[in-house]
Amino acid sequence: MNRPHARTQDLLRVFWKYCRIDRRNYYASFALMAFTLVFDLARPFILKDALDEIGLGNIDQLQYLATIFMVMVFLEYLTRSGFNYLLSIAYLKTINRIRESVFHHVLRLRLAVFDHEPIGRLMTRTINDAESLGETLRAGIATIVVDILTILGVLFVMLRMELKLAPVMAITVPVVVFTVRYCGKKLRAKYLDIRIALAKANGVMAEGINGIEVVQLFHQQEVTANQFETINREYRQSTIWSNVYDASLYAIIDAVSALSVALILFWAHGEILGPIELSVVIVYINLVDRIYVPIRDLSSKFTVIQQALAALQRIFELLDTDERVAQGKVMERSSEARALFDQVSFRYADDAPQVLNNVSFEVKPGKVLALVGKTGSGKSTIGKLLTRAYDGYEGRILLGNHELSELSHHAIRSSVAVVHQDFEIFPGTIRDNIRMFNPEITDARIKQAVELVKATHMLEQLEGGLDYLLKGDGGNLSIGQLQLIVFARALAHDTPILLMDEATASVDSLTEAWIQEALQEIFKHKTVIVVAHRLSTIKSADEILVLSEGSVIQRGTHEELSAEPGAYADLVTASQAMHTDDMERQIL
Amino acid sequence: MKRFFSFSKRYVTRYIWWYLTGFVLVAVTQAMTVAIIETIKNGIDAYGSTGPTSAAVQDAFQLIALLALGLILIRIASRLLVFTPGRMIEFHVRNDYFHRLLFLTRSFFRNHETGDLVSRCSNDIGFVRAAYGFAFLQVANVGTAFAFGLGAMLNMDVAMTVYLAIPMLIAFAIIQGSIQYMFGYWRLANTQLGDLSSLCLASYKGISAIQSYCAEPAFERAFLATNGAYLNTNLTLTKVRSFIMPLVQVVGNLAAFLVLWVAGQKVIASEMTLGEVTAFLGYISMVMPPLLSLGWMLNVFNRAVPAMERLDEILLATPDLAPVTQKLAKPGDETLDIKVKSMFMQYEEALEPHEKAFSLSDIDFDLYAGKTLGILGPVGAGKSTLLETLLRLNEPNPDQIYLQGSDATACDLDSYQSYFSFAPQKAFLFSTSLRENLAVSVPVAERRKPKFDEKIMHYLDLCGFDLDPDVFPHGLDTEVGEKGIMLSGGQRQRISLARALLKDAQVYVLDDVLSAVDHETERRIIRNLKVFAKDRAVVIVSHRISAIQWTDEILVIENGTISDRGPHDSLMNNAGYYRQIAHAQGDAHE
Repeated sequence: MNRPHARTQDLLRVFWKYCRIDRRNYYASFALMAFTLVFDLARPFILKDALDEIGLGNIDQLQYLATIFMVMVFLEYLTRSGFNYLLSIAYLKTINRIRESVFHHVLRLRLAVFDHEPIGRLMTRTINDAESLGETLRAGIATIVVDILTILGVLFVMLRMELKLAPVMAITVPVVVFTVRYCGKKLRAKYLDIRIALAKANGVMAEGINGIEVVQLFHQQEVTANQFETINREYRQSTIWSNVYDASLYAIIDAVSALSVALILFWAHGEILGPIELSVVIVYINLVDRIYVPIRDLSSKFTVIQQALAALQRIFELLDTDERVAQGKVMERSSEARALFDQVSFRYADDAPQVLNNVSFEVKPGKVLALVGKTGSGKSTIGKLLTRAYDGYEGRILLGNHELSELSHHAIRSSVAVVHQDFEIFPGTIRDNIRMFNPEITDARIKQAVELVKATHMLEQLEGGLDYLLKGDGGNLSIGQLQLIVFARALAHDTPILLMDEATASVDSLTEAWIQEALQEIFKHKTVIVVAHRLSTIKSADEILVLSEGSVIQRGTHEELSAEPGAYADLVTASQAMHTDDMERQIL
Repeated sequence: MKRFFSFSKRYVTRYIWWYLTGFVLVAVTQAMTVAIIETIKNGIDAYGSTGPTSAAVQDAFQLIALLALGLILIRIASRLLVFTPGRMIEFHVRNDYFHRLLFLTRSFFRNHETGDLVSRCSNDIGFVRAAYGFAFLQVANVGTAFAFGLGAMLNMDVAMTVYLAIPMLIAFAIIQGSIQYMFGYWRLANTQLGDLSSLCLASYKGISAIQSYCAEPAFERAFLATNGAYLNTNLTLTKVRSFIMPLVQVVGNLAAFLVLWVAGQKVIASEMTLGEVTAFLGYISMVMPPLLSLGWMLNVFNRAVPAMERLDEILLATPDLAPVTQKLAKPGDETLDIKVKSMFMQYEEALEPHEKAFSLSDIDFDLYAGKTLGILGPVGAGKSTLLETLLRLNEPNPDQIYLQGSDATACDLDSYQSYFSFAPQKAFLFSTSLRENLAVSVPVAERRKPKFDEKIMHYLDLCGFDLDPDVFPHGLDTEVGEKGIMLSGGQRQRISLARALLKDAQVYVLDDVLSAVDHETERRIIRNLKVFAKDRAVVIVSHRISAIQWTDEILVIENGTISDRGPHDSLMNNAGYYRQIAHAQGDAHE
């Protein structure tokens, strides 16, 4: 975390933008808070008067004051609850809004961001940071103002009532503040240690469980358990120390409050300052606790506020990343489904190696282009440029008759659909997964797509057919079934060009046959650019581009290329099985 | 409750003296608090009757100061004496938990997700710790505060105490009721937050599909709906938190009001002193907080018991093994002899809802030094299950696998497994260096030998892994990241294979380990494997004919049983799955 910290004011200013809609709630709650304080601080005065009336033996007056006391208590309850409630509603809504705008923002980030930003981190921003912001607001900021005002108010009441007892507070308050700051600092450090140790321990445990068969087969159980125990011991030490500081904090504050009483009695001792009314002494004794407890809690609340600011900063940093590729003005997609690369060169960053080098090709409407090459040959990059996940290429890329940069995102997306090799499946019905939750796509169209990919039979076997519920990771269907659903999705949408990264997962031959059949069907209906791994796919392409280190080294049909000696022929002869390529997914 | 006692018996007993001493000190603390209140009372009474200069006031001041200072140490000690064993118990439970996990068999992990197992070890143990630390302290606190506080109050004025008891009980009832009420909503809020997370995760994972099909608005609608439901639950919780919980304070003040109303009259009637009034106020603040925390404390126990149940599911789990009755020779002492006779394996439940319950049946084969066995079959035919059963990652049935003439299930698991080495289908690497990942299969003593690195390099080479200094500037010290993320799938597979071959075993079991390497590398590895396998037994599973056609015997597994067997040439003469696949893959030759 060595990013420069945004200034607190700036953070708060941005934060206020999200609060503004609920500002009435915020204002009203602050007004109520002022009343709360008044009612709260009136009580010691009433108590003192009542005690005085007891001294005077005035029962009627005493009962009258007692009633007033109770009314004050009740008014304070009403205003305090109202204050809490209004404030809570306001911040809950604010948090809700922030979370929604984070989600909105992330959904619109360009794909390149997801290449380097772990999904876990984006998740944390959207869910956990917003959540912890809510928790901290509730526990901290809402009450910290009240606490500070209460402390000041009680001090004011004490001094107002009897100035002579001020020295007692002048001695004890610094002691309390010092203790709180010292223990608070130590505690924070220990809590951090605890969090780190716990995260490490959880990591070791998750790894041990995921790799359990390796651990067991190679007889590493004791070694792994010892590793865990060592981290666990660090964790234990930190927790025990945190208990020491925590206990000291409580014990010392409690003792100081008892000592204050002693001091009050000592000071009230007439020889120094002259006698003080007994009722004042009693009220003072009563008030002592009301000042130390908020001071004790302030320390942890300041920590909480720091955490809230840190969460805010992380959230706003994400909202500030304007990683969107500039889009053009042309809103309508071209009527012609063709894609053309003309002398395209590209590097991911100025100091990064060139990944594409003068690549040219044209895919005519209805044709299939297969890209073949080893990992790192640049075949995936072609797709990334075509979908404008990255910008900054040299040369020309035309979609229909327009240069890519002239087209709006909408125009590009309604021309080119993408099918990735790791299936993107969402929790929901098969229907929703095929139509991507778009209610405009009718069941008839879905069924037609399902039929085209020959998945009707598969659907019939599943309970509920299109209504069959998929798990988030698609874990309740086989790879072959998921592949067909993703194909049906592509066919149900009317994007004319399809960019495919063929899956390399190892499947059995029967499933393989299904997929090939569906694929051939897709080839009939769409213009396709496919990063191909399977020979049968490659063979049915109208043109094959063999890439190596960013350059096109061969092009032609399967027959032409097989006939001429070169990389393609080598590849074909070398592949004695289905897979002609390194199976791993490309990282770029 | 039985669970609580059994759990406590296992973990609390050794710290019983810590707790007892802690409880005694808690009692002392409370007694001293009472003493302070009493002294203040006497001080005030002396102040009222004889004036502020009296010696009695002086004495009170000194006594309070002394008590307060003493209280610091005793209170710290009492808290530590109770909290520390809570932490120690947490430590032991965590260690035992993980240790036990590491020895459980495959069937256990099939039914439990990693995330759940890890979260039990932090969340559930958290509840247990709270019960043995915080709640135990509160039990002592509440008990003694009630005994001493109420005792002292009753001693002063019985009627007054009874008056005060009423608002206190009301406060207690309010707290209890709110906790019960809120509990349901807390759980709901948790579920909703979970839903929100899953939705968010799925959307971010599938971002390219969402963008490419312009589905952002639909996903935002779904997010908005879930987020809104979560907000509503929280708003309900807020109502309780804002309006019901603070009622407790009102009731607390009601007690102070009663003191003024009733006690005031008594003071005027000289039935009570002002000091006693102060003391009553003091006792209220002594008894109220523990009373209110009683609700939370009961809640802690309520949550701890189910947590203990979940933990005990692992802590008390025993690997489901038959007693050891046969002693195995040390690997290498005798010539290897493995016989598998009509092996079957049945899963009681289907792994996935739409699948049929899976079974493996009538598997026969034998293994000896120098024999290579290939296994081929469609996905889900039972190949991996067969291997896992052979390795006793799944416990086999008795009288089906014989190692050196002994029934596998009657042998000690460790001795049995020391005969085998394994490279699993999913190459699993630990988030440490390449060297450590490879050395896992080798005894610690051997890792320290001077030429160990050379040995590693030899096996890496054997597995076609090129430790090119341009790509791996740190060589064997290269950190591979979580699950080996820094390496490609093919690299991970080869590391996993090299690790398996490094182990000095009798049988090498390789589950589809060449699926992610290119054909040139595959050929190179197989060439090396042929030499390696000369005097060892090797079992190799693959989808590719090319990876197994060189083996001595090939088993074709379909639907959980052997549909065909024999060497490559004879299998090619039978019309069946093997020949079909060979032809399909042979297309590549052309």
